[in-house]
Formats: sequence, C-alpha cells, structure tokens
Amino acid sequence: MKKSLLVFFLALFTIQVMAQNRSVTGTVMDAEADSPLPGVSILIKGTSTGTVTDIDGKYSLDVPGSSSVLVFSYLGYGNIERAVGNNSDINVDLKAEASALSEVVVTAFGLEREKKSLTYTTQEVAPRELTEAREMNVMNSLSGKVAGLSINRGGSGVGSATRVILRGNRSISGDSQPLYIVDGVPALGIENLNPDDIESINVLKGPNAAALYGSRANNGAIVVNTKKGKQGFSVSLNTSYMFDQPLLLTDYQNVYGQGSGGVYTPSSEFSWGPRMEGQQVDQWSMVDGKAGTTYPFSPQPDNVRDFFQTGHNMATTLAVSGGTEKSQTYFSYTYSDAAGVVPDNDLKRHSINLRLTNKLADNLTLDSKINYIRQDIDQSIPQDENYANPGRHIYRLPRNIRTEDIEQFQYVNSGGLLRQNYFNPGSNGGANPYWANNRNLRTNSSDRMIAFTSLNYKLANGLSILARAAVDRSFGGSTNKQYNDSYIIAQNGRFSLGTSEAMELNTDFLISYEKSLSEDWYFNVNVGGNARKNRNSGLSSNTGVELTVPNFFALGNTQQVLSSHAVGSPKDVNSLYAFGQFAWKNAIFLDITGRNDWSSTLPKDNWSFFYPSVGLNAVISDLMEVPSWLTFAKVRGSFAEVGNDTNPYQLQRQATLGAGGNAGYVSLSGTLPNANLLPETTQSIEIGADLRFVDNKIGFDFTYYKTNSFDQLFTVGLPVGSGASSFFTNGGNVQNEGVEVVLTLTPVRKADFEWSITSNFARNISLVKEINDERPSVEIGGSFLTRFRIEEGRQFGEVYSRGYLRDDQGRVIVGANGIPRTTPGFTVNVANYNPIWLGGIQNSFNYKNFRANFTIDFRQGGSITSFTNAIIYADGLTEATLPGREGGLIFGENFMTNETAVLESGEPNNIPMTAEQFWINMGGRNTPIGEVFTVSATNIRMREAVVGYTIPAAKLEGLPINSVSINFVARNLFFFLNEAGNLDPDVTVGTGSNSGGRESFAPPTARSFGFNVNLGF
Amino acid sequence: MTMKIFKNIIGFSIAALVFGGCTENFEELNTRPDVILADNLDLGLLGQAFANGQMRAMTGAPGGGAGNYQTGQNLFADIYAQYFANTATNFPSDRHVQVGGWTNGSWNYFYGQAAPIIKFVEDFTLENNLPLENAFAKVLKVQAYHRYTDYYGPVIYSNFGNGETSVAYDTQEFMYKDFFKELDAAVAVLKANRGGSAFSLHDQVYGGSVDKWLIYANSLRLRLALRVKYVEPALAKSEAEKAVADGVMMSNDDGAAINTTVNSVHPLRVITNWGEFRMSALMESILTGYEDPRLSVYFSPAADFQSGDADEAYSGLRNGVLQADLDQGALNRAFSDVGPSFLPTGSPSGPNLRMLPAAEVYFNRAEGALEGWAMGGTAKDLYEMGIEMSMTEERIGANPEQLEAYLSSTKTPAPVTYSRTEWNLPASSDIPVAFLTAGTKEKQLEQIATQKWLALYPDGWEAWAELRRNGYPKFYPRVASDNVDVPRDVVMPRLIFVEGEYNNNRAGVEAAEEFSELTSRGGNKNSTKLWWDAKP
Repeated sequence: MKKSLLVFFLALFTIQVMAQNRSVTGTVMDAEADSPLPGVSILIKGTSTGTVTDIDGKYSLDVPGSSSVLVFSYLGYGNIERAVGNNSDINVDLKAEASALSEVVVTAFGLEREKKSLTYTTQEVAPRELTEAREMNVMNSLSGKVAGLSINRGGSGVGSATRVILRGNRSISGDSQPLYIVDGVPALGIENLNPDDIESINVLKGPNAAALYGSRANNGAIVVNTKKGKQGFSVSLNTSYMFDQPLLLTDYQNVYGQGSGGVYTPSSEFSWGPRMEGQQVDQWSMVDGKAGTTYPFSPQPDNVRDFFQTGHNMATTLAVSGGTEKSQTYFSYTYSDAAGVVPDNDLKRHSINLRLTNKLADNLTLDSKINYIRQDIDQSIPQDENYANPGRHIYRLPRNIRTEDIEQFQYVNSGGLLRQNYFNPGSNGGANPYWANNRNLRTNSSDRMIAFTSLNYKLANGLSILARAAVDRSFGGSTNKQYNDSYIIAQNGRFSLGTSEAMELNTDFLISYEKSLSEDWYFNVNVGGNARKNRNSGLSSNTGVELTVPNFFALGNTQQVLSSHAVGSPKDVNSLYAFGQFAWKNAIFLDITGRNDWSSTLPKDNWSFFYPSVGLNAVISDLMEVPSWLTFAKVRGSFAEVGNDTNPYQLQRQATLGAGGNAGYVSLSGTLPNANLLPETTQSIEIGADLRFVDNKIGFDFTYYKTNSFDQLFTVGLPVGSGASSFFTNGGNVQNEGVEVVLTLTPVRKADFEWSITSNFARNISLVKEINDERPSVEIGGSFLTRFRIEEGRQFGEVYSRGYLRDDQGRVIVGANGIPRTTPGFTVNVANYNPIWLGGIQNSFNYKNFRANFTIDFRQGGSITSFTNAIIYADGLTEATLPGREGGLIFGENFMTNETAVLESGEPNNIPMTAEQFWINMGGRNTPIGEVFTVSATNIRMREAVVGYTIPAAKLEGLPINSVSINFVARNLFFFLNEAGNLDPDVTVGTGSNSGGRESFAPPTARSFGFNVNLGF
Repeated sequence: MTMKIFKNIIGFSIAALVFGGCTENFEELNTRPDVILADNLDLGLLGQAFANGQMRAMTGAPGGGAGNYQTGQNLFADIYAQYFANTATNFPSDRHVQVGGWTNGSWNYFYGQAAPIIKFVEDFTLENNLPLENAFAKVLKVQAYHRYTDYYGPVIYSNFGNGETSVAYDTQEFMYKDFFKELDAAVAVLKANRGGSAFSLHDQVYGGSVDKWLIYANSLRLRLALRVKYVEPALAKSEAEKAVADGVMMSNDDGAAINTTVNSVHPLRVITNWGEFRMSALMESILTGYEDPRLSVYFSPAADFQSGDADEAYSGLRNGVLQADLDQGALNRAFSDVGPSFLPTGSPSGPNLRMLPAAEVYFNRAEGALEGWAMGGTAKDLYEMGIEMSMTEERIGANPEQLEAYLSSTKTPAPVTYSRTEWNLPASSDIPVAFLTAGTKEKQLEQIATQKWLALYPDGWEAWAELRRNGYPKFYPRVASDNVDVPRDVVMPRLIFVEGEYNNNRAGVEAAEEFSELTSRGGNKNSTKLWWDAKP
C-alpha cells in the first residue's frame, strides 16, 4: 500500500501492453462517511492509464484484460488494489487514514513527493482549518499549529500585516520573514489570498527545505497550492460570518478624575485629580449648549470600551469545478467584508480565481491560472505614536470624561471654523479620539494579479520539460485627508495621495528525467533555470504645510505641492540549478541540490554565487523487520547552504538633489557603501525522526536543527563625526539552534468516534556569535522607550531602556524626594522578546457526523516593554495607580516590595512619596523607564474552537444538494494565563525585526465568534 | 530518437547557461536613477551643496523639516535664553532636563547633515583650486561650529570626516583659536578679491558678493572675540580690533540672514504650528516695561485661536513650570504666541533665517568700547546705533520719532503678574533704555547685553551663549528644576555629551570627558561652565 507512489513512478516507464479492451465500472465510497468519494484516482497498475471518479464517486475505465490490477488512491486515504478478473463492476470502500503515511507533499515547482521520501521537515496545515475559523489574513490561522512557527500581528487593525518567523530571527538588519510560494512560484505574500482556494499549505521550516527556491528561502518557506479543476462538475458555496469583540485587558481605575495633585482642571490630560463623587465641575466641551456649563464629576467605567464596536468578518465563496479528462477548470469568486473593532476600520475584498488545466496533446499539458484580488481598506489604523492612531487617545481618556461629551468631536467656532472639541485644545500629545478617527480619513486600495502559465512537455518516458512564466503584480493607492485643527500633524489641514506598484516576474524552465534502474533503484534528476525580476516604485504627493481653503481636499489647494518618488528596489536574479533524488527500495532516499545565482545587487566580482544541499533519509520500518507496535520509523538528516543577496544601491555613496534655496540643495547620504560586498550565507544542519506506533495511534516527529548565518549584510553605526553615520558591510554569525517535536495521539479510534490530539513544541535559541570586530553591538531600532540591539555573545534582539539606578549590591538608589533615581541613558537590558519555547495542542473529536476541534497555544518566556503602559500609568488611569495617592508610598518598603531601596547615603529608604510623583517620574513619553513597564510574554491562550456537523449524504438524497456542513467557530476566546497583564503578547508595534518586544497603542485584540456553512452541489 | 533528445538537452543547456549568465543590465539596474553618485559630484552641483550647507548650519532643513530645529534649538537654547517658555505637558527641558533622545538627534543632524556637506564644499574647492568658494566655505564652517561648541564645549571639529571608527574631540579653546585662524585665511582671500563674486546663484545670504562675505567674516570674528573676552582678554581685544579695522557690518543691508523660500521654510514658522511654547516672563517684563515697539512684531496678543476671542494682552509664561501645572490648552490660550510673521497668517516661507544681524555688531562694538578697545566709537553711540539698527530692520520699521522716544526712554522692565499669584515676579531689572552715561561699567554692560538679547530674537542659540557669558539680561529663576545639578535660579551652563557617542564613539567621547577644560570645572555635567564662560 505504501508503495503505491513508487508503483506510480514505475508505471510511467512501463510500455503499455496493447490488449483487448473492455470496460469496468463501479463506485468508490468513503467507508466512514458512507458517502461517494469524487476525485479518486484509479490507475491500471503498471500503466499510466487511469481515470478519476466523478462527483457521485462513479468511474468507468477501459482495461486491457483480466490480468489487470486497479489501484485506487486518494489523498489522505489509503490505497487499495483490486484485481479485475472477470468483474465488470468493482466497488471500493476507501478509508480515511488518521495519519496517512502515503501523504503527498507538493514541493518545488509543484512537484508532488511522497512525504516519507522527504529529507527535511515540513508541516502541513489542513486547508479546512483556514476556511472554518476564518481570518482575513491566512497566516493568522496558522498560530499554534506549526512547531517552530511564530506569528505576531501588527497593530493596524483589519488588514494588518503579520510577522512570521520560522526557527528564530537570523537576519541582523533584514526581517527574517519566510518566502511565500504559491503554486510553485514565489509570491509577494499570501495575506490576501482566498482561503477557500487553498488546496494545501505546507510550512518548510529550514533552509534545508528551501535550497530549491533560491536565496530568499533561507528563512524557510510557506508553500501554498491552490485548487485545480477536477473531472466532473461540482459547485460549492461557502459562507462564513464572524463577530469580533474587543478584548480589552486594562483595569482602569474609577475613583479619581481629571486633574493633578488632587485638583480638578478641565483641560488636564491626567487623572490625578480629586475623587469623583458626582460633584458639579466646569464642562470642557465647546459644543453649543455645553460650553460654559457644569456637569457631574462621576466615574465613567465604560468610556474606553464605548469607543469600540463589534466588528465582523464575512466571506462568501462560490466555487465551480468541472472538466473532462483532458481539460479541467476551477473558478471561484469570493467576497469578503470585514469591519474591525475600531469604528470605520473596514476591509472589502473581491477575489476572482480561474485555473485551467489542459492536456493539449498526449504529451503536452498546459496549466494556467489568473487570480485577481481587489482590496479596499478604510481607516487602517496608524501604529505606535502616530497622532492619527485613535488608540493613542482612547486609552488615555480621563476617567470622568463622558462618552456623550467626547463623542461630539467637533464644533464650529465664532469665526465659522470647524474645530476639534477636546478638553486640552492644541495639545501636543492628545486629541479627541473620535476626531482622530473621523477627521483623519484614510483609504488604501490595492489591485493584485497573480498569473502564470506553464507548459509541460513529455519528450519521452521519464523525460519532460517544463516552461513557465509567472507574474505577481500589485498596484496600490492611498489617500489621507486631515482636517484643520488636527493638532501637530495638520494644524491647517492636509491632503495626501500616493500610488505604488510592485511586480515580481519569474520565468523558469525545468528539465526532469527519472528512471528506475531496477526493482530497487530509482533516481530522478532535474535541471532548471529561473530569471526573476523585481520592480517596485511609488509616487506620493501632499499639500505640504497647509491647505489654502480649509478642509477642501484637493492637491491644488495649497501654495506648495510636495511630491516624492520612491524608486523602489529593483533587482534581477538569474539562477541555474539542479536537483535529484536517488532511492533504494523506496526506503532510502538521497537528495542533492545545487544552485547558482547571479544577483544584480552585488558587486560585479560577486554577482555569481553557488550553494548546495544534501539530505538523506531512511525508512527503517521498510528496511527491516520491526516489532508490530512500531508502525513506521524514519530517520533523516540534511545539510544545506543558502546564499543571499541584498537590496540594490548599496555599492556607491549617493547624493540627492532636493528642493530648497534658490536652485535646490544637494545632500550626501550618511551611509558609506561597500564596493566589495559578499553574498550572505546560511548554513544549516538538521536531523530528525518520524515514528508512529500502535497502528498509527501514536506519532512522534522530532527535529533538531542548527543554522548559522554568516557574512550578513548590514549597516554598522559609525561615529557621525567620522563623516558618515554608518557603513554597509558583511559580517556576523547568528546561530539558531533548536528542537521541534510534533506528537500525535489517537486515544480513541472507533467506527463512530475518534479523538485525536496533535501537539507541537518548539525551542529555539538565537545566539549572536559574532558581529564585527570593530562594532560588537549593532543598534537597529529605537524609540523613546527602547533601543533594539544585536550584541555579540547574546541572544538576538536585546531591548535596552532606562532603569532604576542601583548600587553595586543591586539595591535601588532613591533620591532625596523618595523617588527612585534612574539611569539617564538606555543602559539597562530590560527585555528580550524571544520565547523559551512555543507550543500548541489541538484536540479533535469526530463522532459520526459531528466534529469538534480545540486549539490551545502556549508561549513560555520572552518579555515585552509597553509604551502604552508608560503613558497610561503616568496619566494615573490604571488601578495600579490608586495606592498612595495621598502619599505615604515608601519605595521598597510598602511599595514595590520586591526591590530593596537605599538612600544615597546607603541608609534604607524611608522617604515617602505620592503615587503621582512615582508614576509621572517613571512613565510619560520622553524619558520613560522601560524597566518599570516590562512584563513577561508568557501566556496560554484558547486560540480556537470549532464545532461542526455534516449532514449525511443519505439524508440529502433527492435534494439538489450533495453535501452540507456547518461549523461554529470561536477564536481568541480567553487566556488561561497571561503574564503580560493588560497586553496581548501577540501584538507588536510593527512587523520589522526591531519591533519585537515593544508594544505601543495597538488596537485591542479581537475575540471572534461565528459560523460557516458549506454547501456542495 | 535518443540522439535527438540528447541534442535537445545539449541545446537547452547551452541556452540555459546563457540565460543564467545574462548580466549585462546588472550594473545599470543597480545604479539608482534619481540620485547623483557622490563620486560624481562636480562643480555644477557645488552651489547646491553650499546652499544646503548654509541652511543646515542654521539647523534648518529643506522643505518643511523642522524637527531638528525644535529638538536641537527650540527645546534647549530658546528656552534657556528665556525667549520662550514651554507649555507642553510632556517636555521637561524647561526644568533643566536634557532629554537624551533630543540631543542625540540634534548631534546626528549636525554631524550627519550639516558638517559633511560643509566639509565637502571646503575640500572640493581646495582640491579644485577655487579659493573664493573655499573662503566662503571656511566662514560658513566657523559659523556652524562655533554654535555647536557653544552647546557642549568640546565637540568633534578638526578630526571630523576622518573616516575612522573613532573620532577625537577638540577642546573649545582649540576650536575658538582655530576659528580665528580660519577666518584669517578666508579674509585674506576675500580681501584680495574685493568686488568679486562666487556661488552667486546659490548663496542665499549675499547672492555671492565677496564684499559682503568679507564684512560678514569680520563681524563673525568680532562676535567670537567678545565670546572669549573673559577667558583670553588679550586675544579678544586684538581680534576685535582686527575685525573692526577690516570692516564690519554698518547697516542692516549688511546683516547675514538666509532668504527662506517655500521649499526652505524658516523652521520656527513650522514648529509654531505645534503650539508647544509661548512668550517667556522675561520677554514680557522687558518688552512691556519698555513699551517696546518690537513687542507686537515679536509676539502676538494672547488671543485664542480655538475660540477666536482675543483679549489683546501680551502675556509671558514662567519658565520651568511644574509638570502638574503644565496644561497646554489653557496655557496656550492665556499666553502670547510668537509674532504674526511666524504664524499661518504670515508668508508660507516665514521670515529670513537670521545668522548675524547688523544690530549685534554695534552692540558687540559697544561692549568692546566699554573695555577701552578701538571700536571706532563710544559705547553710548554704538549702543544707540545698535538699537537703531534693530528698530529699523525691515521687520520692525520704527519711524524716527519712535526711535528717538525709545532711545531717551527711562522706562524700566515691568513686574510680571499671574492669576496664580505664587508665580508673580518682580521687575527683572531697573535699567532703562536710555544709556546710563553716568552709570557703572557693569550697568552699561547690562544695558548693552539686554538690548542685544532683544535684537537677536529669535536666535536663541546666540542669545543663550551670551546670557551665559555676561549673565545679562537679568533673568528670572525657573519655577522648578528637575535636574539636581542645575538649580532653578542659574542659567543652564551646557549640555552633556550625547548618548549615541557612547555607543559609536566611546573612545572619543570618553577622552573628551577627561579634557581639563571640563574636569577643572566639574566634568561632563550640565552644571559645568564652558571654557569661555569665565566672567569673574
């Protein structure tokens, strides 16, 4: 049974026996669901002749004679062979395998390979997990399901980018994100692909898996294959609806209101004022009828929550598949509509996908696809400290501000001008959150087309040539209207427009030859070439400092139109490569690859670089007798090297000509180039074992890996006084070492009921072994709160901030005012985001036609520094700021008792302070003390729960519907444990590698509930 | 059959090799189309580089870039000079806190944007034998670096651009003495080329006139000479006399200021929109006390742009207001914003960016005359000429009657009162405008320095330096200092070295910390007085 694929290979080389034909018909049924199985492949053993079952599971096949054997196979099900004999009617029941050993994995160029023959680690995610618990961004669905995969969401709400890291960070200056491959072709990303179109998604974790895809896969690859048409005709309609609720985690205090030092001020942005006891105070609102009045000073416990709404995520897909033996078509249309928890943050997406597969002649196959995606995002949420980020303002609402007042975000003043209605007009840090959201209007649109056409010509048995051209092209457009009186950012209003385009063009050829030398020996060898062109550019214009006519948004409405052109980063990479596999007894496999790239971004002498890989794998259970409890055993090992290039324009120092003065200004770039750059190299070794026990009820997949990334290309800071601020260089050795374990258990497997558990565990240690002799530390990002540094001899990504000033015994030194003294610079190592380990557990239950699936994910270790907290604690907004408002806090004695505090004299601290003094000195915007606002990122989260029901086919008989299934889904339900307190440790500031470990005014995470219905016709 | 296939494969492989090695467009593709390669910068672009250097030397930036002006100048020098007081809740520098991120950015701006382009012009003109252009660059360099050393004391100067991973600092003493030498060299060239012209299209100050640049160079020498008056009196005298003898600014037409354009806006014009500072109490005391005609030019009445209500009062805020009392909305409404030329009602480019006004030159000569130096006039005459220059600048345009009345005015600075009476301040001084001919030398110095402080506005950078050097005008204590080293009733003496240097130039900055010029006066602290800050 396990050898079916080899049989298939063998079949390709066997000369067809010409004999008298006769017809065999039958039906293939799913043994458990008791329903017909469409799409089952049926092959006459030893030939390449075959067919597939139609939508009713029926087939008809001409067989040469009674000695023929039919092989029935279906992905995820076992294979069955049946001798034809004298039968003209052969019915077969195929049984789904809990863990099918003959799984086929699609690798480079869309080549299918039996999973057991792989010499490296991949992990597959079932496509239904993408469609049931639907996310707008497919990658978010993978959280907790793949060992060694870490996913963080950016904080821009619906349509946010996702930061995806496999096996740790390895790039000092780049982003360490993996390569995306769609239908064998590198893609610009998969965040807006339609999950319903996805046939399979495979995560290739290390560079070992990726030598074939070229240099960009040195961080691993996410390999997606989309659906093709099948013989017969089928229609499916899938619709899902999810509700999103904000998961607000901060405990706000509801005792003290606006003001400082216990005194109320109507324009204060602090909540260090008096107790809120319903007393009448001056109204701040300038709105007619309110200006000049008073209102009761009372707690408004829901004033933050009131800002948010219940979001939704709706998607409907209509998919049609049909075709004949020679020509198949798959077509789908999806409309998605999502609204975030921040009002007006909407996303609408149309996706049209057409895939045509044609056998133009017996030996010539044409496969082509065109996928068009239109996406419109309104009010994508600016991140971090951006003034237009409503989160920056809503989380800071003083505790007495009434929703009914603050939601009136504008008024018209006596001069007839539209004004922002805010309690601290003209503030340099605050704004009315409703104004920020309603008077800073942003749209983003993108049109994306992914298309390819591929010809496969079989020259002879075993020898074929594939030629392909593929394009992924996107056009983006954005507008931003900022109204008059948007403090700081657009005091007088501003309008900006931008367009951008990006393209990746790949042309390929591949010559493949395969041959079985004998019963035991098989090999294939492939030689290919790829020419890749990346082009992108952008153009943006804005009205400069101010609009001439307020709030009339046209580019001409200014004395100064500013435009800028981003030339982008064009590059060409040409590659030639070869790969081959040798197999013995279909049990020992040897993979060898070699690739040479020529990249336009490197100096001429280093344009060309070569990198190889080798992998070996032995299926022990096929090679020798093993005890019956050992169902399957495989060991594997591999070594790979991947070269990499860099961004363009790094070889020469640049000077730019810009507007200014009488006839322009020339400026010099601060980065010194390096004319002798070398390509980067990542070396990786990996060993692993895949063991299955007791009739597949227990599975254990173990991988150990170590990767070293050498000669990385990055900029190193110079003293600016040297005449340049940095130089671009090669160097470094970042090592990632770790283990990944996937454990599968099937505690119960009965005819009607099955319970299976899949758990994954990954431990990765990122160690910066070497950077550069002259600069053992590289700072790659910073904010008011933190500095992100890569330092020799330490974990990747140490976060530094200010901290308590300590004596040599580690005791906190307290000043004469009772307030801890703090370091003036960013000298205290406060955080590192890298987890100690990541894991996930999925429990699946199948009972007759019901199924349920629960995913819990774990993260142990790592820490986050929160800018939000630095601000809202200093504002006196949280419950933690309640103790000591009247004074009497003695640091280290009755407050922060985990610290020992001494005065400068060395005497124990006995000087009281108020909560206001402490928090204002520790927090705030310009010099926050990161040590105080750092929390552990350890958490255990109920990630996903799905309960589904499929109506048995028998009950649908006579109806025009073939299948109906319905699922109820919940995502991000709750935390079992969250040491980050009021933060969601998954959300980081952005998706760059220096955003790890810092949080700043992200919108709340959404907790989602919903359902989806899938109808088949 | 097999042979044919074999041939096909060979053919294909050759095609493939050609395909893989197809690299002829690589160099072109890897050359950015919209920039100039630094190696290819030539004479045709030198003027644009010089023009950029002028703007950068004064902390300006192309377009509307003003962030570095704010964090580099406005949040330190302008409020330490007590021109303005901070209203933003989250800005602590008015309470003597040196926010590291701001100074770091300002340092990176100066050495990353200003210094390289000035050095490029100086080096290029030297290599290509363009002595006039080289002389202009030298003068510009002195202008840029004297400002910069006046912030920190020791800074990177003679070793700038060494291309090394460590760059040594120079002492302030070395720099000032070198400035005079650089000016000597430039002046010699300029004198030899009177009537000539260089960078005439690009020079935003004098349209390339050599004669004007000569006058500017001499006036700059006079400024620097006075700066070292207390620490090197003999040098000060000889340099000042040399400057005056060689010809300094005589009229407002000689004044040095960068013409701003819509693409190179006055940075103060930009940051004013952000509403983070207001007129200082000291400005109110002096301008209202003197009933100074410049009041309504320098500042706006405390009108509220939110409500449109104007109460027509000019009101100055205390410096160093406690964080708990900072309330930007309320304070911005209650106190005076800058004058109309910096507000949205003014021109989009704002007024010219002043480098060295003619009024200052007269006040500097007046101070020299007080010392008995040969300044070509008496202290009184030069003092009055300084006031006349300031009053008759285009921005003020006082008429002869106003000027006459002002010069003879015996009005003195006024007390400043607040609704928060604990902020109330007495009159900042008792000096009148009219020159105290019978007064002590110190009183006369106070008059000269006070009027210079008024005339320099809004160049807080120079005003802070002179406030430190002479201690005039008599300033108000801040409400509070959050810096244990610098009490509220002293002028912030300097900024400490920036933190980025400890990352990228540790050896250089640590060596600078050990310069005796610093260690003998307290080391690398905010409280340490600079080398020239030596008034007995």
